[in-house]
Amino acid sequence: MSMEEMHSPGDSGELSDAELDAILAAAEDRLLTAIHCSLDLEAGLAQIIGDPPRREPSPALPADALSTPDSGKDLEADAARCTEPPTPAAQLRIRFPGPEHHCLMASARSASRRRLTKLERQRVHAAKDVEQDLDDLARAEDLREWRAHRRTSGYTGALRLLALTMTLADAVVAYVAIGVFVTNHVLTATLAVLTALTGATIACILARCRRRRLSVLITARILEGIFVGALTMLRYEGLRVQGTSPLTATGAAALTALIVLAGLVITEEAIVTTRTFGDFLGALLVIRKRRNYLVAARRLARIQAGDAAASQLQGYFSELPAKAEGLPQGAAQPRSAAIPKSTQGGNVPALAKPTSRADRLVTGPNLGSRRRAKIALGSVTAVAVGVLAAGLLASDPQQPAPQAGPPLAYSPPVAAQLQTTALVFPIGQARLSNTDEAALKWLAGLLKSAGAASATIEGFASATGTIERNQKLSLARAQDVADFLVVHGVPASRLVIIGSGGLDQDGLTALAQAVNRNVVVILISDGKLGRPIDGGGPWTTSSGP
Amino acid sequence: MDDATTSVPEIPGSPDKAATPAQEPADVSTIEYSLSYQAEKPRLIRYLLHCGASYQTAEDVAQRALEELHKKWATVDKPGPWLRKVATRKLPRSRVSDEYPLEDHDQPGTMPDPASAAEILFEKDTVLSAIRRLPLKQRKVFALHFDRYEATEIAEILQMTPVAVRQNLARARARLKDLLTSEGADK
Repeated sequence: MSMEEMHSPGDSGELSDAELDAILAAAEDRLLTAIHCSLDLEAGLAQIIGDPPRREPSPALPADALSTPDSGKDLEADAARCTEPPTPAAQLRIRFPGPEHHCLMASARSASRRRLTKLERQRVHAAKDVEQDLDDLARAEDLREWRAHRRTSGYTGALRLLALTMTLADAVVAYVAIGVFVTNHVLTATLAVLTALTGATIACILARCRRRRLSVLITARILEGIFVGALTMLRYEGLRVQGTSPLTATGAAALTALIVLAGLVITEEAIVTTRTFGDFLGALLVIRKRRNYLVAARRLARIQAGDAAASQLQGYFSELPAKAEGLPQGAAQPRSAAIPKSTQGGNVPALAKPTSRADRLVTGPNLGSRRRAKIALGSVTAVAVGVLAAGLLASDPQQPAPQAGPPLAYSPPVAAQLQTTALVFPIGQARLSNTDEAALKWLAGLLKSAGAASATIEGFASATGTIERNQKLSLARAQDVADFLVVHGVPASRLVIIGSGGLDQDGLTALAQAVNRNVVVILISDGKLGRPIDGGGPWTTSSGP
Repeated sequence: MDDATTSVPEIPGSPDKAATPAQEPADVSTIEYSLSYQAEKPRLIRYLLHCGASYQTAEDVAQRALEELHKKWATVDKPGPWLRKVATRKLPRSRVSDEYPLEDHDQPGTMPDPASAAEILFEKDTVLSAIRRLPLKQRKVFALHFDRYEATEIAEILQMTPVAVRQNLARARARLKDLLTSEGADK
């Protein structure tokens, strides 16, 4: 759309909101592109972090890959081209080292890697959380069970009364023992009460250790012994001072020791075996821990599902280039191992403009230049292209082995079997538009006509908003699409629904972010799709504001 | 695991990770920051241009804000809003040394450098010129709106209420409609 076209108002002489949005978005996009081109991001980054994560110089392909029958010339030429010094234009534009990577858009690869890294990190954290919560829950439940087992509910009241009585007895004994040496009654009573409280405290400490199934503190036991011994000695010395015979004094001291020791033990047992406020809190703790554990386990399950899908995606990416060339398995593996290494170099010449069906499918008729489409849709739809192409090739047992070594150039047959479409949603919404429904009806017909074809429906959201909200929104979008397909006769068992949340939008334009609010439907076929790709599928882009 | 991921740190929990577990967090953090840098810097410069800065100033302020982000990377939850808030705060201090001779670019036969190309586009583009005629506050709101921020986030960045953000946005749209319609009619 030219500037004149954009600026000419409608017949009413007034710009509509949609027109204004389109004009402003285009202008902002132009500005952003100009800024992008004017920046040396790597130099700026180097100023900050010193050693930016530059791509390694592309290594030469391994000998076994180069010696692949009948493709040696092409491979050598490609390897030589990869080692040529880059032109400035190539440095600006190119992320692909060779023609075999046409279908692997750089942003898509980068997005899938970032997603995988993010998911893995989340998985590790979630697994730790689950483990921790499970431990906490097990401990809390053990404790509660132990308490329930130890509790003698029939004697709770009696034990409490007995504990109180024995504490008073301790106080009386202490009063008698101290009273010999202290003439002031108030002071004597105070000291006696303090002594009884000290004994009760020691009993509480010991009871607490036992209740929590901790090892009983030896210090507390020693203190208990000292406490009993001190009172016994005090009583004995008191009687001796009063002129009592040693035998009588010893007997009285022994009785004192017995009373004090019984007081401590009974108090301790009463605390251990009766229901306390701590038990109530413990029950609440168990409930909370159980809830935490369930939440963490659900989160881990969600992340693991996403993680598995992302790993599968990454695996497809690694094998796709070699498969795209149609190499036999033996040659494909070293080749697929070699190619990604060469992608690490940014110093490669520009590629010819791709004209494959895949690119047309990815970009669609209304998305402008290839560059814009690459940035906008690369993160989502090229992933779909990769998965689908790999799935198609991997699952087709009838695929003939190449007789003569295939050329290095990007293999059109891969793209010729792709069936993909993307449905774009307005911000914050998960409702299909009428145009989307037309596309989905076509997809439903295709799925019904294909015997063993299945579809992965992956919902995305733009990165704005919270993670939880984006996750829910993306899942709701995918679910909405799946519901529609099921209503139109597609068996639910052939649909896989994934909510991928908000996509990272690093490097994406506003248009790309708009396109990220979408659902990508990936058909994985056994090569028996009922309709050839040349029949054309609808490509809908009902972008939101 | 794909060899294509060699530039990305190994995934925690993967078998290869056991060899170098200690380097993992640092690598991930650096990669994340690098990606964030590459994504945010152009958009931050665009935002600062809308705030009235020259290209040089915008780039300088953006770079300094990103440096600060690097230091606080571990503690910043939302780099985008954080960067805009910091850049907005830094911008007035940088305006003193704001000099950029635009006249040179208009002379025939001289090739503008890439930086000034962006600047010239910002100056000459009809739509962007119309945006520049808006009041500063409306421009800021508009720039953040085009960075896909919600009204509440814009309000937080610009220290306004969400209601004020929506009002500014509505007024800016109305004004832009008038401006663009009249310019289209002129043409």
